[in-house]
Amino acid sequence: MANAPEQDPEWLGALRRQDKAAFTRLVRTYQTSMMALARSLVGRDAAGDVVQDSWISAYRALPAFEGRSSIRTWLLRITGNRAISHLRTRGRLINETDLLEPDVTARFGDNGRWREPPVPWSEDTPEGLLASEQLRQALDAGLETMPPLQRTVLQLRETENLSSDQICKILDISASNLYVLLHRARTRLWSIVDAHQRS
Amino acid sequence: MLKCNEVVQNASAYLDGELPMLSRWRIRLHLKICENCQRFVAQLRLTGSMLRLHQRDEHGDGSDPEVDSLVQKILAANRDRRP
Repeated sequence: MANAPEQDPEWLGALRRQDKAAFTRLVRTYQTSMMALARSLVGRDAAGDVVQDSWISAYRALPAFEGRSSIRTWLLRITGNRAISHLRTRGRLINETDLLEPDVTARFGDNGRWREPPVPWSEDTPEGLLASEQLRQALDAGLETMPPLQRTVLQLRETENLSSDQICKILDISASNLYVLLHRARTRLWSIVDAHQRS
Repeated sequence: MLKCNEVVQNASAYLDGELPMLSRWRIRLHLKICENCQRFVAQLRLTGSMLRLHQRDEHGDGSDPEVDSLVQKILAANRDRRP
């Protein structure tokens, strides 16, 4: 059985006819990704409503779905738009590329060389690092306090494994903004692990 | 020759393979001679893998009863809106 409607013309056709079974299968396939995106942007409490509204919009738009992007990107884009407009109406959407750099920049001297270089970590595998409950808690706290767009680009890239082009479309941001946001999010996470390793 | 802070500034795009060839080549050259930047880039890559593992099992909401109830709500909302 195909994992995406694009690989299954019968499923795609049934979706365009708003067939209930086909739609249920679509929800089952993409609900987790849409919830993860919404949670990342608007937080746990509002994510359920944002995703439900996104599904309603998607259901109504299905007969006109042209397949110019994958259905996954299309659904995530609907979710991203809903979530961003939720943030905007609450005055919580700021230009995150204007935010100050994370503290990694303070680790260089005026000559551009490391003043406080990275130390070797005691673990060199993801499993080894995550064996520490303290680090897992620090990561959760770091992700929780990260600005929403930074957290979201990181999640779309690392967890959903989406291309830059797809992420830019989903969040309606430019490629240069994406690189700045990703750089800041990753260095912020790196700083958390590094601080944990030093302590 | 790139400085260390310039390498760090571009490390994320470098890992994603998003840099033009010349910039990529200049970073590779720097990494050959700078142990600190080598370590930083390797740790940045490791941080990404760690995040993937950490988040893999975090998001539920795809179980059958939840999906069935969600679909009912979506269809009901769609019916309510129809003239």
